Amino acid sequence: MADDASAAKAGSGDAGRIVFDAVEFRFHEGAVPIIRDLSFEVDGGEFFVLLGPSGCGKSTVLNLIAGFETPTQGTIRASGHPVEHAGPDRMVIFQESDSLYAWLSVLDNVAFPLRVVGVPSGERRARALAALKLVGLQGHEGKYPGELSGGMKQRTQLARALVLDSPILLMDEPFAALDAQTRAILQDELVALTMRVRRTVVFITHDIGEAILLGDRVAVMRAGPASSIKEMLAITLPRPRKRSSVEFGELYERINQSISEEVRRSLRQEDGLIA
Amino acid sequence: MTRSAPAAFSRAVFGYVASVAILFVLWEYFSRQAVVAMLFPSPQSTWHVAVKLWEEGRLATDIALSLRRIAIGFALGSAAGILLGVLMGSFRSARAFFDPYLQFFRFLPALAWIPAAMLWLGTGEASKIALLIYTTVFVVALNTMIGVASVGRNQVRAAQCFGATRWQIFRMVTIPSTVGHMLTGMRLAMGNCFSTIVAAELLAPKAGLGYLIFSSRTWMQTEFAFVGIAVLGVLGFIIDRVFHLTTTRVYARYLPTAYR
Repeated sequence: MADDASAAKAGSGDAGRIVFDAVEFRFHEGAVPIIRDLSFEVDGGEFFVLLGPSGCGKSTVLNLIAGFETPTQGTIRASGHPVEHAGPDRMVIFQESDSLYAWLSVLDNVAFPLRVVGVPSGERRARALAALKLVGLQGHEGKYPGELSGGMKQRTQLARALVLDSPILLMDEPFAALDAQTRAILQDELVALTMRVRRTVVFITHDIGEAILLGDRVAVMRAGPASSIKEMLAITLPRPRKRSSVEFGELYERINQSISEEVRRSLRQEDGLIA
Repeated sequence: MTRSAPAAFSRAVFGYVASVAILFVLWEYFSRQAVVAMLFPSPQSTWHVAVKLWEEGRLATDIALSLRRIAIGFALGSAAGILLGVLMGSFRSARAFFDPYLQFFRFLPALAWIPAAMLWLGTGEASKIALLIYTTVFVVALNTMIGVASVGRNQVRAAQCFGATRWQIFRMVTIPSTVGHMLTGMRLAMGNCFSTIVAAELLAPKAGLGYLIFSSRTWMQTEFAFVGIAVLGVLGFIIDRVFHLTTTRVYARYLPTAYR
């Protein structure tokens, strides 16, 4: 990338570091909290996966880091600064590719953040093309989002998120809507990419295999409401990881049990509420 | 069974030709049933009158005048409608304030305002153009408002991530994503203008297609009315096609697939 200063810093000091301190979030006063007393830290340059059953508040955590939502209690800091609103140091890659601008070409979509920041147009093109090359979309810059496959749309989103050299990438189940083959390819490429351009990644998924494949650490969340982190696992398997390895399978089983417990517990809770 | 594009096109052309041919046959048939020929002119006699009116130069004058009025009313009405719709879509307070008016007036046809328009603006151009603006503004405003209000949440959130200001989001996301809605509103409004021009030209005009239609009553020249009706219908059809084709070409990438 043209400017990797911020990315280089992601490995040291506060850049790219995310700190949750006793965070609570409710949609409105008196409502049941979605998450409660959530504290964790993500190191700069770490690939951090939030794993949990649906409805556990994973996306809420991501929206809080992004600054789309504000905690009702506690504090969130990103790169040393309290998070108050969305900003160019934290990029979101959405699950649905409807965040792309349908009226702009792939190139203009990727150059959009540069236009917002006020980069002169000549430089915009070069930097957008560099970002597109990084995600393997060279040659497709003239197409429109409507002409792209699901995988290419997500690549475009990724390129657009990389173009500003933000230290933090927030990915909300970005591959969930893709077919299995495309998903596997993109998972591999994402690992390779994040090893080349070091960024803090917070990756949300409900897919245990994906979590083990990608994460430096995996945080398993409790079933909501009033969710928090149940356990934190450091994944020490060497990269590139193979789903077929014995260690992978053991880890998968372990996490699977942990999540199943959560799902069962939440079902019992709901039964209790009904009774 | 695959259908090629040329086959589909020739089928569409055939459909059009057949439907128009049937219309003329029925028209001819019913005009022959008429006891007094004058009351229901045949296609031929209508055509002859049309040619005569054209040669006299009167038809061209009527067309030019009506189209000029429509163009002015439609342009001003669309501009006002877009402005109003953007305001209402962007600001809750503006929406709350203007919504009662929008919902009240959009059900009132321009026809209802003719007496008031005559009293306030006289019988000249002003009252006619005011009625055309009136018939345009609310439908454009309503569609624009819906467009602004339905901008993709993730598109806005992405822009917020890039650090876009509210004004940048408005300019770079909201407006481009609303173009399709604006054009839909304008297309509907163009239809309104064609209905309204007839009523508007009731207001003591000297010329215009609406005048042509109404003047026929005075002299029992039913052909005049038929010529006026046919010309208005054909013009409306052509203008809608031209509008649709140019906008889908020029603005293709702004438009939702349904509109294309």
